[in-house]
Amino acid sequence: MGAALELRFEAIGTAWSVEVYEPVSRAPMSAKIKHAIAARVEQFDLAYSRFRPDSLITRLSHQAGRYELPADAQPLFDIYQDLYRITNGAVTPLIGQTLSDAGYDAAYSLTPKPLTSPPAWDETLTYDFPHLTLHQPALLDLGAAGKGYLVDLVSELLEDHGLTSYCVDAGGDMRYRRLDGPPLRVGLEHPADPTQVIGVAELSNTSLCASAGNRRAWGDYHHILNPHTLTSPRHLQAVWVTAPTALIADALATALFFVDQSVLDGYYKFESALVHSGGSLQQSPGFPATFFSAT
Amino acid sequence: MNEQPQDNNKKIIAIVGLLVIVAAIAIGVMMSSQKTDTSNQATSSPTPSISASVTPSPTSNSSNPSSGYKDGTYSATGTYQSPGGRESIDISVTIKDGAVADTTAVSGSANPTGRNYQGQFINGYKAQILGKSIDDVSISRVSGSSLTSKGFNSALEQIKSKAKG
Repeated sequence: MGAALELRFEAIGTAWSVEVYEPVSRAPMSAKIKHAIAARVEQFDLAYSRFRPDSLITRLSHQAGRYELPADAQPLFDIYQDLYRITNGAVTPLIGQTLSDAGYDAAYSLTPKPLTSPPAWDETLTYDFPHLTLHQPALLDLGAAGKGYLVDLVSELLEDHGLTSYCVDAGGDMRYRRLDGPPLRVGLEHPADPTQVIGVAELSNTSLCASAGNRRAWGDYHHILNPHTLTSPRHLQAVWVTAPTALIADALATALFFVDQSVLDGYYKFESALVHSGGSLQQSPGFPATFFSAT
Repeated sequence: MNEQPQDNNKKIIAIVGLLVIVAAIAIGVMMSSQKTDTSNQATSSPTPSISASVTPSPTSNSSNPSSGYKDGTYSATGTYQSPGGRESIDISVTIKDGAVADTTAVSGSANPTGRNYQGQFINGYKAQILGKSIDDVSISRVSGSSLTSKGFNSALEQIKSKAKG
């Protein structure tokens, strides 16, 4: 695609690719952007990673109290608060300890212990931005929306540098903006075979995020846990969501494991495609992709 | 080449029109069966009153000798009356080598309820997923779940090898 600036790195547990499609004229500018992205990602990880002993999230897991959240926290905590309500507690940041006990911990032990249900939001948290009060210590997990939100933050950083045509891709969750140029053709990975795709999405000025239970999976579990049943949902093989921001796309790709599209329709502007466990495809009318059909 | 475009078009109209009727009836059935508030709407079951018009846009001039259908994509818009107003759904049929190669349905509904029902129809209407090799498709990147971290993957590999060992 003739990117003028390309950047690849590994962060928050996945491989990143940042491409800018317009001339970044001077070399110092390019270096400045690269440095700014690295600093932004580090700042995010230091606040929200539950795998780092020095993160804010780890501090919250040790001690109750009233904390002042970072300036960028509001969209992230807002969407968790809203989805907690909309999904009757199925999407919850309080799933951290349960995920960790299931084996998805800082050491990637992947060795499940007996699980307990996460505590209820109202008994544990009072969220009033910029403050978060923990009535008891709690290990939060922001993995359902955090990656998408960081894609947005890196995109906004590019825009702050005056750049308007870019793709920020964090392991297949991406935001694409291009004022003049072709749509981005993205293959939708076959949930059972990573060498195949089941269709092609064409993105223009939108975000696309995926969620699937086939990869980050161990034993009986994958990276999504139902807090009520303490099992990983198996009725869906893969979910893709397009939305104006990667934050929304990422969060809804998880929420769709728990609630029907119609439940979320009234709250968010998005399109979705779901592959059910039997291999049937369900897509919303405006999902911007062509799927291959068996003819 | 001695073609009978009029005759061919009539056949296509019949096929596409039939699909539109099936769509509208299917959506009507879904709406009736899923209606929860029966107290004041019990008698207003949606009536699929079909009006379909076919727009043929053949991509080539060759008609298949066995079927007589001209290759191309033919589309029709079906409309029906729902409790929420008049709704439409667009259906297109692609004819290739004289046979139906693909069919697609696109919601024309503006309201969320109509979109939802039509979406449900479209979902059931498109069948099973089918994979194609990444090498055979022109794409610039992939979205799925394979690109997890090296840390997670290496931990998983270690566990697997221990389990074998």
